[in-house]
Amino acid sequence: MPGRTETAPAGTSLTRLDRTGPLLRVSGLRRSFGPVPVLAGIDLAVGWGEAVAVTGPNGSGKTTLLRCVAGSDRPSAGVVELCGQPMRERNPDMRRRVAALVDDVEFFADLSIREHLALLMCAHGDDSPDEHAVALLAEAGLADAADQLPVGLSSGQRRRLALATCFARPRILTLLDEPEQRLDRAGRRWLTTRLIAEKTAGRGVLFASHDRGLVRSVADRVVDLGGMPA
Amino acid sequence: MTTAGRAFGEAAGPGPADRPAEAVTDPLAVADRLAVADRLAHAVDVGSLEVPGARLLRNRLTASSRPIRRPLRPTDVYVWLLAIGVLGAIAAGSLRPLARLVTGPGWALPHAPGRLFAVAVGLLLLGALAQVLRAAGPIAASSAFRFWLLAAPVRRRWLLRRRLLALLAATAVAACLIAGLVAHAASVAVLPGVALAALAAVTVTAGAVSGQASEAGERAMHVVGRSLSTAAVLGLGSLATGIGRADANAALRAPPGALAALLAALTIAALVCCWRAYRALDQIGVGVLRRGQALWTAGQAAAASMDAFLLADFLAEQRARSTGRVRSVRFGSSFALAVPRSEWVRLRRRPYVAGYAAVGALLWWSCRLVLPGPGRAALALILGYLLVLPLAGTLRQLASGPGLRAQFASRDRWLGRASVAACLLGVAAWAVITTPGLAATDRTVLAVLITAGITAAVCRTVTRPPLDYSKPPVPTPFGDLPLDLWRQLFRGPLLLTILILVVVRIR
Repeated sequence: MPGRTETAPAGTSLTRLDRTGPLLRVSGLRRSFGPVPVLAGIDLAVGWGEAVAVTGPNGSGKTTLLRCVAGSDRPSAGVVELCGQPMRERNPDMRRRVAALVDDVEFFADLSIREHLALLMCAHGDDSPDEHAVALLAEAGLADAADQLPVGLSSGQRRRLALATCFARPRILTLLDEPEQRLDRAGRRWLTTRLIAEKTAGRGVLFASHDRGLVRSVADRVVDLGGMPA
Repeated sequence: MTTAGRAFGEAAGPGPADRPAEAVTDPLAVADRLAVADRLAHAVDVGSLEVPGARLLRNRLTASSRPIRRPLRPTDVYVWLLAIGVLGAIAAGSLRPLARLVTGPGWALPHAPGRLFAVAVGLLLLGALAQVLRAAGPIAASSAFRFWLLAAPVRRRWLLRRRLLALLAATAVAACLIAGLVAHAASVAVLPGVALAALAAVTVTAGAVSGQASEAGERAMHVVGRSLSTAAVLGLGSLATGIGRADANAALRAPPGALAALLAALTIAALVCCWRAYRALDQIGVGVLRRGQALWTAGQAAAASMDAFLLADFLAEQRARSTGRVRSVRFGSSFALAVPRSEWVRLRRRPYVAGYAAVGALLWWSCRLVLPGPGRAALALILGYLLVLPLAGTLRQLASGPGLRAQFASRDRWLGRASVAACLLGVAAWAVITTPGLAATDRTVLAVLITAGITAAVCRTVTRPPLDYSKPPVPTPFGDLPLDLWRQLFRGPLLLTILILVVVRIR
């Protein structure tokens, strides 16, 4: 966010987090739906200031992996650790540290998108949420839609707003599932710049993508779940 | 195969079997070639084809949409026997109460202005029917029906007339049931009331179908709906405040000849409107049919998952779409102030809630003159519950949206608490309005009980967790329903029922 200093969320301290090891560590992650195995023992790690891309064809388990990491799905086996501590979605401190865009993001239906973002920033301790919300919306290309209710947005605008909600809050790890979906060329450029800025700020990024350009520009490492055609 | 059958079922021109076999490996090339062949066939033969009849189209559709069959299980027999037994027992048991309902003295208090009450409530329901039908369509068609049948060069009225008939029949039956209850509650003659209500409901429904065919008709239906609602509010206002109550009630004591004339006039109006509606079916555009179908789909989804909020969400979304832009407010840096401010903003953007609350208060104070004590208390609680439910929108969105909770991390609890506080204030206001009308020994205790009870019931209802499909299903005549669905269905309403029993007891 422009002009905004990165602070630890209330009740937690980044200095207390284990910065010696990887930011995120996934080991032996398995997920099956009935008899169908979707993930069979995934191991990966995301370091501080590192972006890891998950690639693979449709049905290879990219979204399931991210859902398991975000805590919105329960793995059949395996361990997910954030800063050396088990990742539990029910733990508010964990939720404060991770910004995730994995499932469809919802917005308050009766608030304009500017109000929604401002309330979100205010909830996370921003000192001038109204101004920062306007700035972030302008950066996301949504300045003209700032006073609209979310239901009136197009699918691309909705996607930009969903991404903006991730960047509007303090975080040490960002999880994104195919963030480039429904974005136009300008939107993809903004996304690329943003994700590179995340790395520069020392945060981790784990994202699934089909966009080779985005993967090449942002990812430090690629975890291929099923072979990406060359 | 007839020409008509060929027109609907098969592509005209040479089929794939007639084409020379080629070894084509590029799928895009094959697709292009097929598209060109289809275009050529269409261009050549479309003029000479015979138009298929509506019956043929319908038969084709029925044949192709046969339900999936599975082997009969012993539990199926048990379920159907149970259903027949239960429904038979209900039918047999309801004969005597039904006769009592028609011939009995009714529930109204002695000397109550029953006629004015019945007319006002009837007008209110008719106004609501007109508005709902105008918003809902009322004739609707699924996308498959639109795509496969309504796109055919067949007169639209032949395809839609069954829907019109079903709609009119359903409206008439519902009007008879509701009018019977209202007439009995108001202690007025049930049979004439039922006949008048059924004819009026059919007239309004047929008018709404005619209105679907033209913008002028739609505007007229809007005016009719508003007029009926305004007349109802005036009637309820007269009942609640006492202004002109006795005169209006006396004026509604019509001589037998006038009632017959009114029935005859309504019958003619209903017949004319039905005929006009039938003729208007040809003029209804596909876009209008789509609008209604979205609402029906939301209604079906709400009924299937027994979650009325799915329908409420759809309506709220439609309303928000028509709102477009709003004037954003500044929340400031203090979260403690931003939370109540955001609740206030939400309330301000839904002014209709205040309108509903005003009509609800008028309705309850009108009922107070007519209904005996237990009915009055039950109605106060049910109306309060229904009126306060929209105030818990934030809590419901947070409870049903894990993504939204994750966005706000642990601060979502504060937003939820603010929503509960808004409910509490709404229920407290409702308790202040209604408690003076409840003849209780200790009104303070009653007000506290109503406030706490309705708030708890509303919170239980809106914090319904997602359906757990891992629980065993229960076989019913409507198919296997998950056990968890039943548990969820009774979360809030069960608490409300217990509250009604308690309030009726201590009143």
